[in-house]
Order: sequence, then C-alpha cells, then structure tokens
Amino acid sequence: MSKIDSKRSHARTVLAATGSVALVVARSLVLPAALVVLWHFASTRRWVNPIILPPPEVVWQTLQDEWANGDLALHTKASLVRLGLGFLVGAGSGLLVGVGMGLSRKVEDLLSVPFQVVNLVPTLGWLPVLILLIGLNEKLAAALIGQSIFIAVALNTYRGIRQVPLAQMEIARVYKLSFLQTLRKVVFPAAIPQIFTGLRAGLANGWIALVVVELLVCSEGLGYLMSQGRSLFQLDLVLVGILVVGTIGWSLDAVLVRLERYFRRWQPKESRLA
Amino acid sequence: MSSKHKSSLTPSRIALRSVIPVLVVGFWVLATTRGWIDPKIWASPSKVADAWRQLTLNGFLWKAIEGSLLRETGGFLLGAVVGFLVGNLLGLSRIADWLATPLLGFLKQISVFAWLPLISLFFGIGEWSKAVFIGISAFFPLVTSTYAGLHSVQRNHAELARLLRLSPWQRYRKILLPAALPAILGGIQLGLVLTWMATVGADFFMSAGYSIGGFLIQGASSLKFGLVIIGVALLGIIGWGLDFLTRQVGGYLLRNRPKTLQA
Repeated sequence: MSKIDSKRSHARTVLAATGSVALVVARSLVLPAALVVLWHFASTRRWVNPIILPPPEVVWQTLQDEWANGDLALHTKASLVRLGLGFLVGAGSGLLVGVGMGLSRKVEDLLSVPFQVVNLVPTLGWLPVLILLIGLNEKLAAALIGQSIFIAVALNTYRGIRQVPLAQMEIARVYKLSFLQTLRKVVFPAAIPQIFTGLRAGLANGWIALVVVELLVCSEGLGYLMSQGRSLFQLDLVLVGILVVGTIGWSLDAVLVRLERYFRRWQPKESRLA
Repeated sequence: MSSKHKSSLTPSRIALRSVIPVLVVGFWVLATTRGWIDPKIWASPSKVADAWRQLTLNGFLWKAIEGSLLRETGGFLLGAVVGFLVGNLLGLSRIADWLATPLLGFLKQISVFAWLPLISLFFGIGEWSKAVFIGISAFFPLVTSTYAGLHSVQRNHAELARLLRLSPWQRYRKILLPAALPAILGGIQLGLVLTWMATVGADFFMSAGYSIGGFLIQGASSLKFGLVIIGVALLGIIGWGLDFLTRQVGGYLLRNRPKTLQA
C-alpha cells in the first residue's frame, strides 16, 4: 500500500514538474510573441519604413530560404569550426598556464607580468598587433578567439587551484600520493567548479571575438553574413544573423551552465549565483 | 590562501618576474637595431619614443584620449542607467520577471558586435549609434547584477522590514538596495571592462574623429608598429585606471561592511 502511495506521489511530482516546465516555457514566450506582433504591425502599417525594419514574416522567409539554399548552414558551420579551433587553442593553453601558475610559485612569478599585460588590454586592442604579426587570414581568427578564451580559462583555473585547502594538500603528502595522483584526486576535484566558470566565461568571450573577426576579415561565417546584409542593405539578412548568433550563444551557454551546476552540486547554494 | 604563505616579494622573486619582460624588451631592441626584422614595420624603442613625443606635442594624443573617454563615459552611463532601472523592475516585480527575464537571457547571449550592422543602419555612424552600441555592453551586466543583487536579500532582513512596518520606499532604500549594492558594484566593474572593449570596437567599425581605436587601426593599416604599441599601452593604462576608480568608490561605499576573504 505504502509502495503504491509513494509511486503515486512520485507520479504526481513528475506531472507537476512537467506542467510547470510547460508553464515556464509558455510564460517566457508571452513577451517575445507580443513584440513580434507589434513588429509585424509596425512594418505592415508603415509606422516604420519596412526597409529599415522588414516585417517578421520576411525575416522568417529569409531564414527558410537561406537554410534551404545551404548558405546559412555553410556560414554557421564556418563559425562553429572557427570557434571550436579557437576554443581548443585558447582553453588548452589556458588550462596549462593556469595549472602551472596555480601549482608553482615559480611559474606564477615568471608569467605574472606578461599575463597581467595581456589581461589588461581589451581583446580588441590586441587585434592590430595580431594583424601586424600574423596578417589578415584564418590564423588571425584562431589567435584572437583563442586569446579571448585563454585569459578567462587561465585566470579561473589559477584561482580554482589556489582555493584548494592546504589541509587537503597536506593529506595528499601524508598519503605519499604521487604528483599525478595529487592532481587527479585532490587538486582537480576541488578546482573544477571554478575551471568550469572559466570555460563558460571564455566561451562567451570567444563568441564575441568570433563575430568581431568575422565582421572584419573573414569571407564566410555568420559575422560575414551580417556584414554582407548590411552592405547590401538587406536588414532581413542581418536580423537572421542576429537570431542565429543568439540561438547558438544561448545553447552553448545553457550546456555549460548545466555542466557547471553538475560539478558544483556539492557546494552550498549561495555560491551558485552565476 | 593562508597567512603562512603571505606573499612577500623577495629579490629573487622580483628577478624571476622580470625575466620575461627583460627578454621581450631586449629582443625588441636587438631585433630593431640589428635589422633582424623589417624596421619599416617594427619601430625601434627610440622611434616609438619619438612618435610619443610628437603625438603629445601636436595634441593628437590628448584629443584621442578625450574622444575615447567621452564616448566611453557617455555610452556607459546610458547603458548602466537603463540597465539599473530594468534590473530593478525585474528584481522587484514578479510579473515583469516572468515576462521579460527569459527574453533578456536570450538577448544577453547575442554577441554585442552582432548588433553593430543593425545599429549602424538604424542610427548611422554618428556619436548616437556609438553611444547605443557601447551602452548595450553596459546594459546587460547591470541588469543581471541588479536583479541578482535584489534576489540575494536574506529572508531575515525581509522579515525585519515587515516587523518594522517600513513603507515600500523605505524597504527599498534601507534593506533591498544596500543588500544589492555589492552585486551592483560587481556589475559596474564588469560593465566598464566590456564598454571599454566596445569603445575600441566602435572606433574600429564606425571610426570618426580622434580616438585611441583610430590610432590602432591607422597603425595597423599603415603598418606602423609605433602607433599600435602606443595605442595598446593607452588602452591598458586607461582600462586599469577605470577599474581602479570603481574599486575605490566601491570600497568607500562598502566601507562599513564586514570584511570577507575576497575583499
């Protein structure tokens, strides 16, 4: 009897949960829907010039056309490949430098000045330097995206490792764990939430840098698509670009938020504020 | 970490810290004077010093700093004030929170620079469109931090407000706002970093008049390393200065709070 009861209450909570998910989704669509309706009337009733603001159905049509003729997929793929490459370079080197600076005072001292200099200047400020060093090509894109990811990952990895309680490191020493064992069993479990914060911030930075680079130098990619739309005065294309950039950025962030929460699940709630 | 490891800079640590800067500067001096690299692109330190002197004498440097700083402050204030108001609306009104927070969460994920083509078509490439572009970069951190700050108010504080029968305005002024202040200051700090980057971007993409970004673009397109390095240095110094100022103001506003580890 009690088993059935617990099953029933479980079913009820599941039902309530799915119900509330649907409610949340519905709730969050009210305002966007209202805005789209307003947008529709604003351009069909000519409150604003439809050249300046094409109606939503035109933008939707453009989205479908661009998807059907394969252009959108091509540009999206180019952007994602670029971001992935930059992420590999930036997050990889950021992890190495962060771990090095976190574990060893000597490494920290050695790298502190160059690191602070790179950190101090906004990523875009490095762009002209990189243009002079590398030239206007695909490597420039990887370098700029990589740099913007590197800073966030290195900084947070370093901080995360420095937050490992000394007592835990002493226990590792008492148990005579090897260097690699200490890393795997003590340092990383404690530092991983902060490292994930860094990866998330890095990915956001990289996504910003990607659009910049594509607006400036690339001949394919979502940023290029938008700058093309701008120069041809096709605002529907620009809006499609914004929509896709937002959707991808949002999805990437959503995945990393979930991962971050997973790795932070043992922490008290107030430190989960993202 | 702990007080045992309180870092003091011994001479050997200072030496270690200066290894890479000395190597880099040494390489720069040698490579430019010995002609290892093209001297037309890679100006030597003395040439950079010359360029600096020239820029300060003819006043271009000050005009560029003034132009960029004005743009930065104008855009930041615009975005920060609107962001603070929206953050309050979302943080205080449950209905507004339900309706608008998901949409803002989506809009936040759109890279600022993706707005550039749209803004320049809407507002042209004048100062207004720059202010809007820079403002967007300040808007989102302020919305997020104000919202999070208002939601971080502890339950016993809210109960205290009810006990004391504070009016809504008193409750806001005496309980909610002070509780949200640290978060808001964090948002301002992040906003300044992002707007400073956007200011450079605005100079790049909608260049007009004197600006530090203009230096950089000019230096890169005419292959003049001297201009570029001066521009980069200015960006770093001013960005640091803005951050320093915010920290000082924040420290002053929070002077009566108990100290935490992070402070």
